Amino acid sequence: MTASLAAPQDLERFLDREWERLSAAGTWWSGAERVAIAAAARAARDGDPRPGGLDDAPVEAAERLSVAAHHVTGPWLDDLEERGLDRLAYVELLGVVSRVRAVDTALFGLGRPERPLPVPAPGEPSGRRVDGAGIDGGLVPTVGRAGPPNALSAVDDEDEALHDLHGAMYLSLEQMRDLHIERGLGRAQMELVAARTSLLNDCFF
Amino acid sequence: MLRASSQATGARFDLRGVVDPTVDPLVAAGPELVAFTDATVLHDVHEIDAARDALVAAAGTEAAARAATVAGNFSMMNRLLDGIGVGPHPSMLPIGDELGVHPPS
Repeated sequence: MTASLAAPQDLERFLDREWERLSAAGTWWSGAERVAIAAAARAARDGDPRPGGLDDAPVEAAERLSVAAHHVTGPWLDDLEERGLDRLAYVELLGVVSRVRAVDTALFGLGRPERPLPVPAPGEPSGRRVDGAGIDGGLVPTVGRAGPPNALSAVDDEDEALHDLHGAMYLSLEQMRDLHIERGLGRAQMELVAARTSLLNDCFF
Repeated sequence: MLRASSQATGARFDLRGVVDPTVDPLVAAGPELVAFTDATVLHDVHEIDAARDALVAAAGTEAAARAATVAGNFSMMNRLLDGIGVGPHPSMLPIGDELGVHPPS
């Protein structure tokens, strides 16, 4: 029996970087809040009680994005906003939940133990706004028309983190143009895994 | 992208294998990739070891490791795209009809 698999080259470095990011203050959330968002997402996945450290609206957002992201709607986001969850803070929360799920899923497949959530680092959110972000084809602000490459573009640190992890785990945007690329798997094999994953997650993009 | 990559390489494929595990997708180690993806994404502690072993036997350790990270990546991308509220491009809808998979209206 295969006990566990070695991570592909350089992946560990990206996972370490991701955990550093998770622990540190972001744009709209402190490090403690980002770790609490990750904990809420994991608890929802596992059916565990809600952990503390956050108001009700961000916990609800983390839970839905963790287990039922296909049920995100405009009215639901409007309701969260009325309850204090700013749309840009939601974008950062979405980035945190999504990347933690990426790491947890990959490690489970590799047969490796789940990483304990990091100890939060001190610091204040930057509050930095991105020029040119607005609603364009999606429910949240993006720079340009909403789609895969710019899903988190309204929060630039989240956008950078997304592309770092995407390149390490799958392909960079440049590599995606190469339909003949081999990276452990051939391109058709990678796309089969991608399509099946999307089906299981009820994502029809 | 599965269709595009298969067309680019001239390989045959059967898209039905994405939605029906009893159909061989005609991609190398396709059935093992599907079973491993299911166990990984669904966090199936009862199936994952056997699914991983079968994929390693069919395609090797490097392939199985990459399959795990690709499943992780798309678990991220699925949440991002649903989370920002973008659905399939209208040009993709006929593929859903072909496979009997229909996005919520």
